[in-house]
Amino acid sequence: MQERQLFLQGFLREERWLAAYLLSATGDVHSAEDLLQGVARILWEKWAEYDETRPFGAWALGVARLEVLKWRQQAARSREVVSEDAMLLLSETAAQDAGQIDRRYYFLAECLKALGATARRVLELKYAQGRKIAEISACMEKSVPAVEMVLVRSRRKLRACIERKMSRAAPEAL
Amino acid sequence: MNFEFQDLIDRYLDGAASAEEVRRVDELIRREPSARVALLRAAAMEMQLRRLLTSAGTDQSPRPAVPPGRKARVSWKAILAGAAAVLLAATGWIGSVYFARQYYAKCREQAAVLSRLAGQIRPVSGGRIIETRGLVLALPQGAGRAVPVSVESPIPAGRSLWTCPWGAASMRFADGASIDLDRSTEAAISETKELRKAAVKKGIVYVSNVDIRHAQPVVVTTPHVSVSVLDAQAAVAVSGERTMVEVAQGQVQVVRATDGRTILVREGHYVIVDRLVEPQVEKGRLAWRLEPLGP
Repeated sequence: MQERQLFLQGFLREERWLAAYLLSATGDVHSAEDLLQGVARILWEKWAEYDETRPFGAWALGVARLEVLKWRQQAARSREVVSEDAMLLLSETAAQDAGQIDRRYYFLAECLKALGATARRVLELKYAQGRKIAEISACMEKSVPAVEMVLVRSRRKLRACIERKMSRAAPEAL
Repeated sequence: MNFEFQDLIDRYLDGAASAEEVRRVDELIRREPSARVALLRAAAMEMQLRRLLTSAGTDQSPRPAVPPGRKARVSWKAILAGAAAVLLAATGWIGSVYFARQYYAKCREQAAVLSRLAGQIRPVSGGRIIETRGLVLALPQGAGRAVPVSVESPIPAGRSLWTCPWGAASMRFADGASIDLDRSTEAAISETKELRKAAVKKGIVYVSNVDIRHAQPVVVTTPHVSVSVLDAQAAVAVSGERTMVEVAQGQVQVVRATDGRTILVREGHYVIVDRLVEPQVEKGRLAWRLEPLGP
């Protein structure tokens, strides 16, 4: 039980930036989610081999890199995907930017509350329910371009809000 | 970082980028460290939005959205059928005793009319949507448009029904069994002579299959379980990694998809089937605070 808790603590601490790496490398949210689950399973299976003197994040990233390369071999047969070099560079940047990604997460939760009702509803349908734009447009009785515009503006607002909060919090965070 | 680049990143992360756009993203990743950072942060926001909005529980309704439909279970059709039978009997009795000869022909005509009417009000096959609230859409299987469904339309074959976050739908089969879809629920309903089936992708369905002579089971499938509802009322809720089955009346058999293990859930009990945790049948109300089923 304690082993499991230790593992979960380590994994949850690194999960956000690992997820960001997997999505940026695959460009497909479902593949990224599947890969994240697969990485967690492999790490747990190999937990007995984990060298505690090494950072958990570096160990997890090593496994994630291999899984992404395997995924690439399969996916590249049917569609355009980014190169192996790009994937490697992304993994390095993800590990360096991990702290920032974590901090932005907390601001994102705050910024979401500031969005208007329509924007919030579109985001819920897209992210919580995984709906396609066409379905969201039918459900909200809006045109597809109108829904796309709500989505684009919402993301811009969220990014701007996070940047504002990050710049204000920077002196304390650093 | 300009809007054009940001929009390119968003399309890439949405899986909507063209092959040419993916190549541009690849080039930017390799050439620009700032592009890598921007892409990773945008990807982090996408993944985090999924988690934040899902954990906010916006897609799970804590209450049934279509309770009034249940009150109409003893429907106008049954009442009309009863009234028709009584009228037929009364007409026959009066006719035979007092006006046997002169009204015989008329009675026969009346009986024929009532018989046709009885045929109409006891359809032999085909479920219908009997009540909707808000917007309910029939989703196409592949490409195509989602179209709204309306009351009294047949259950669309080969399409999933999706109740928008402020919608709900109630369906009834020819024999009186019913399936209600709570809000934010997606399910494909199909019907054969032997079986009614609801394949639930997400959300909550309420199945009532009680007090029906020669009833056939209603089978509810989810990514985690298969539930057979016969002489029972049950709610089946699907949320991410788990399915919950609550029984309001009778008992149901729940079969776990991963290993075929069968779990019997009796009236007043519920079970949560999860990928990771061993299922336990518990007595009482649900953690998800569903209202009790029934009128």
